[in-house]
Amino acid sequence: MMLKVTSAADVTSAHIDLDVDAVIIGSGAGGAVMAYELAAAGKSVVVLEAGSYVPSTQFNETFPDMLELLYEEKGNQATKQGDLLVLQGRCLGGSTVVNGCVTFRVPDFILEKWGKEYGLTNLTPEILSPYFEKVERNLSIHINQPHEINENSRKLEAGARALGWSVKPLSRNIKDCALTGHCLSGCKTDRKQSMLVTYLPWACHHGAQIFTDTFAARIVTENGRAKGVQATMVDPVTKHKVADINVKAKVVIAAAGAVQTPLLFLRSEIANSSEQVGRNFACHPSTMIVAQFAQDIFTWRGAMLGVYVDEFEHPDKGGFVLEGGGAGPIELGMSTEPGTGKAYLDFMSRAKNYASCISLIHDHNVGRVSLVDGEKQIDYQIADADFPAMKAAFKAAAKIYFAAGAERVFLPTGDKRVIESEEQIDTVVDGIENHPFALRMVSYHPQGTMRMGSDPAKSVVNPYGETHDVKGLFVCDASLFPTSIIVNPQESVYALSNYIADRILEDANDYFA
Amino acid sequence: MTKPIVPESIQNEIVSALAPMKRRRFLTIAVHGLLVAGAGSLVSACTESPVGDMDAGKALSSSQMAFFQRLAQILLPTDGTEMAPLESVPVLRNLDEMFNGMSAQIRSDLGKAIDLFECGGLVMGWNFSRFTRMSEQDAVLYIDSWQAGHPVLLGIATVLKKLVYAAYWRDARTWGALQFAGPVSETWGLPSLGEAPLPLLQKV
Ligand SMILES: Cc1cc2nc3c(=O)[nH]c(=O)nc-3n(C[C@H](O)[C@H](O)[C@H](O)COP(=O)(O)OP(=O)(O)OC[C@H]3O[C@@H](n4cnc5c(N)ncnc54)[C@H](O)[C@@H]3O)c2cc1C
Repeated sequence: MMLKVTSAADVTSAHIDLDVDAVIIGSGAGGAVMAYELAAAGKSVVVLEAGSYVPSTQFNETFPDMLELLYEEKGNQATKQGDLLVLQGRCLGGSTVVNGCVTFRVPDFILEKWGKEYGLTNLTPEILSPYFEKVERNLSIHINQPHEINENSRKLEAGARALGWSVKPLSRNIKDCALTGHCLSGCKTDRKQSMLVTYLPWACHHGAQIFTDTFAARIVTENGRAKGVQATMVDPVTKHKVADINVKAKVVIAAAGAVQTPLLFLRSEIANSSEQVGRNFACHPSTMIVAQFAQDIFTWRGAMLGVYVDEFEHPDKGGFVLEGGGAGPIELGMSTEPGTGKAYLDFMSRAKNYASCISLIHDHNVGRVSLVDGEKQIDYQIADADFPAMKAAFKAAAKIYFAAGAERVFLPTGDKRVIESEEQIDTVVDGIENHPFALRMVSYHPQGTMRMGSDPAKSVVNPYGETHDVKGLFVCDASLFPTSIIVNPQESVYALSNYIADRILEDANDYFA
Repeated sequence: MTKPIVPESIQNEIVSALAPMKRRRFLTIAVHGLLVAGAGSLVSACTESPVGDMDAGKALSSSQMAFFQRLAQILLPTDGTEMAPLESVPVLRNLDEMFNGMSAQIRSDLGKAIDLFECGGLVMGWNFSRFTRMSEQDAVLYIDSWQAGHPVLLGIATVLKKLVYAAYWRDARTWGALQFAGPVSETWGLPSLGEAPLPLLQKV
């Protein structure tokens, strides 16, 4: 079934003027939940999405093709120095369309920190728990059943168990998973409960209008109050402007993600009295550790993500998690450096014998997103303070794999680093130094650039999602998180967005008068 | 250990050249770094004369096509292996398409990286040969030495390698050797579950 959206191909007029209760910029995790909650409460809602509407029938389960079709900058978005890819969805449904389906609530110790250090005493586990429960019901979130844990994850599980370390099945937002392993290329058969098949159609059912191919250029304000958005609709093929879209709205909600939301604010020159817009970028820099076994594993077969090792999750214990994540030939072929030429082909010839896991670390918010000569720039170099967590993650993964019977472990470094036995782990890992391109890193989880907090001098957005500076202007995406949350963020964005929607609907400031 | 391509003294010069240029993109930095190291005229002489006689692509120039052809031969010596023969996979066309889809800025940065890599052997004492004219053995050593060198060189070598690998493995003909099935939903006849039913209206 096709979703009712207005895309560039549908538009004949060069100017479109709309007047609504709420305009939402971005249709990913934050924007879609917000759109549904406001529309279901009877508000008139417009969603502006820069990406195109790509129905799942067009997903072809070939990763490079889908990078080009569904991802920001065709999968090439990177930091300024070019050694960290920042992957984000750019399509209707945003990153939820291409993500790995893993779901977590914000860990309680993170909420506690947010309360203590950022004045977010309203975001207690007790208050947020009903929001998490609601989202979990709506998105069929469940703990992976045995058939959803493939041989790849079983290796991680077996190794961790042998060492006496805590390892658990992951939870995912998926119904009747078909075990294709192609999550990152979009779910062709709509089993992933992304925004494309859940909150967005539900929002439309309640009257929300969606404009795709529509880039929000500026937020309009008047006398310290949000008034609307100026946007441009662009033909995705010709790249020509099709129409200007002006939306007058009582409430403006930014949900363009942790890279684009701050850029939108910087272009609009608003809500930056704290000078924190775009700062505090964190991203859970992620790497893939590959282990060679004598038997066949076929890392890419089955549910993409099965189990995770949470033994070291708390910052006091290391501040990282390892998730059993499968990789196809492309990802395997780029994840490690086994040597050049024959050595590389020899490595690839054993692809079916590899197990792989990804590491996520609880990084500090040291990065920044800014406009340089009008262009996006993402500055991020993993902090020296965070590097030990990265190395500890490599050591733990290697120990686990050797405990599970691995023959060797390949590290995700720019240069060649292979661990041939358990005894070599410390020496090989300790030799890695923190410099650009030292590691092959990807970020799937940009966050933090519109920090939420009670102090207007140190944060952009208040504890209820409204900007300190501009009334009626809200943020509801991953840019809110004042610190990284260590675990995969989508469920936390859904829950926070719903929480903020409820605060807007309480209408304490007569938004809808 | 391969012999280091960039003498320590030049690496240090590159590092000091980087310091005042922190705000510039890394590949631009790399070019400037080498200019500071006195390599400028050789690099530009090298890039002016195209290598090979290949047709230009949509985004890649004829010399860039020739460069990638040689790089692919060095990186993917499929002869005598079970891998899909390099000649049977449209690696150059795939690379050209990939470049065509990139922003002008990234394309320009990569263009500089290619020039630098192609000409590095001329200016850094690697038998005074450009990359595309090195023997297979020298080319492998040359690549490995970049990966063991300064972060800027490591970065360039890593990025160029990744591009070639992506252009090769994205082709379905390469999957059989790995027993990778590729797309499966249609083969398996999986029905789509479509939109999820509306949830009950629930207030928290
Ligand atoms: C490959 C990948 C795998 C992931 N795996 C997981 C996982 O397994 N579990 C998990 O919890 N998280 C995962 N994530 C992360 C998760 O999907 C994101 O954290 C979450 O979707 C963020 O929500 P958001 O609303 O902040 O942004 P997004 O979901 O990215 O949505 C932002 C939307 O805004 C649009 N937009 C941007 N600028 C504008 C503009 N100016 N005008 C209009 N529209 C605009 C974008 O096109 C996009 O659709 C993954 C992400 C990726 C990319």
